[in-house]
Amino acid sequence: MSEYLLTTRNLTKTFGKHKAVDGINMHIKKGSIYGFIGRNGAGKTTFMKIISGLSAPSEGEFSLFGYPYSEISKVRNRVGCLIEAPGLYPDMSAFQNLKARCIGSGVYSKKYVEELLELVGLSNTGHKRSKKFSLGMKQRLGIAMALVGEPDLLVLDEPINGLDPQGIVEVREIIQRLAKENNMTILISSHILDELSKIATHYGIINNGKLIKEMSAEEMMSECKERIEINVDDTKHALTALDKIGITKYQVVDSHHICIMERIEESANINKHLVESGVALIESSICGEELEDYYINLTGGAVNA
Amino acid sequence: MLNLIKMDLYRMFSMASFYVIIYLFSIECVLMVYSSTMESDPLYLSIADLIMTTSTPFITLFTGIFSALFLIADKSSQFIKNYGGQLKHRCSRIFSKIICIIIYNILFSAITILLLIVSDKIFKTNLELGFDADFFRYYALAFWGNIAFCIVIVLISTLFKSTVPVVILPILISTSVFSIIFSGVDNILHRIGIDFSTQKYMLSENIYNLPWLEDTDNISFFVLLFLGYSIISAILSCIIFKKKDIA
Repeated sequence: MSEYLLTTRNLTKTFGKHKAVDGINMHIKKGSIYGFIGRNGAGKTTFMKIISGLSAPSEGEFSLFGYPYSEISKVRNRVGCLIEAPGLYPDMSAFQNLKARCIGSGVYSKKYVEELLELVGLSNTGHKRSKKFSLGMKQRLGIAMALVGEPDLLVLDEPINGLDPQGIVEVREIIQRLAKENNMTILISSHILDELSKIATHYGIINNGKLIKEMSAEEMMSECKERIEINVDDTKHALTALDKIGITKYQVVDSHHICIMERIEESANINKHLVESGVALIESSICGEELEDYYINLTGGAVNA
Repeated sequence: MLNLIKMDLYRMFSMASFYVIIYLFSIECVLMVYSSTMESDPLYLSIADLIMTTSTPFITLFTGIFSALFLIADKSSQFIKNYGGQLKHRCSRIFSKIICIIIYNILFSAITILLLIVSDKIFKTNLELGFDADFFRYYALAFWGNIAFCIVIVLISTLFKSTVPVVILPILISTSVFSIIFSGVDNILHRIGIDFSTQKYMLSENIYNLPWLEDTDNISFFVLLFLGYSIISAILSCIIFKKKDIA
């Protein structure tokens, strides 16, 4: 059996002439937390809707739990989702909303609903109608709704939107616990890239409907690791000097900037050697990329994930 | 499918509009009986007479409004997103809704008859029941006509996302506003030499004409008409819901 729980092949969704999702080939391993990053309108939600069964692809296909697309209806009930805003009946309480959802899945018991409410920290909401909930409470109830029936794949679209800092921590802990204790696989998108970097084991970066990068957290770490950035008058001259002291892992950014990816701790000596070799060193600094910077560089624009 | 029906029934009985509409209709029923006590000549000879001559349009209107509110609720609240993707067969949602609507109509009919009988006793109008074979023939057809009307609303709720058209269209249909429009269509057809009456096939018009049904041969026409509306609307709802993206 494949190590991947979800594999998409050339998945495409077209609205008129616009390709919202354009030939995505995604691979999600069982038990992983897959962080899905992209700007507004990049195609994240559309992709997640297709995976959740809310929308049909225009082209391409995907396999889920080893089942090909033609047999996907057999495993549809193993996918829980929270897409965009939580779907709640506004005139019903948290308990009633969850009860309705549980009845629909054939898993209703009072204890089960109470456990779910406890899990998302809404056990004390009583008869309060969900229309009177704060955005954070609605989000948490939305997560509880997605957890009904203990799905094997949880699709969460911006689940920490509108949550206060404490709420964000709570949701993060819930997600980590679900992945660890229940071996649940989670596909999650978020605007808060720093928060995503705390939980994701894998990343997929989408831009204009295309998946431009897919990597593990380790690979991301390695790409975002510290480096020395130098600003010099002449890069050719500087590169000759760097070669002389055996530095080979570097990247020429432009005619004045070079990034050195090794011997970070020797930055003072490297600077000294460059100056002694006659290179006009304008600036030298040690910097490391955050996920956000990495994302900006990769997509070539300001963050609007 | 059974779980889906249970879920929809739970939702239906939790809706405030379920009780509000029954409450409003109850007032209407009581007023109808009460008004007959104000006249020197009795307006109605029996409960059956009252239902056949006066109640039918109200039943159609009230059940139509509730059906619209109930059917659009999971779409307008986006609750459908929680379970829509998990459905093995999307048609099961349509059938679940239809079954709930049938149950609602049965309850509504039972409450109507009960209320009229109780009101008759309270106001001492001493109306006869009048539940003879003609009445049951009428009532069965009217019930089926209302179900057909509600299944048309299922189709309307499948087509639209917003609550407004899903509620307004049934009101327009049940208040015969559409028949005014279609009388215009009939005029145009007549002018261009086509002898066809669209009004003859209008759902609400036919439901309202039932009390004056005299020829038993016509029954088959009504049965076929209501059946046609029901089946076509149900099939179209299934096809559209299968093809459409959810939310």
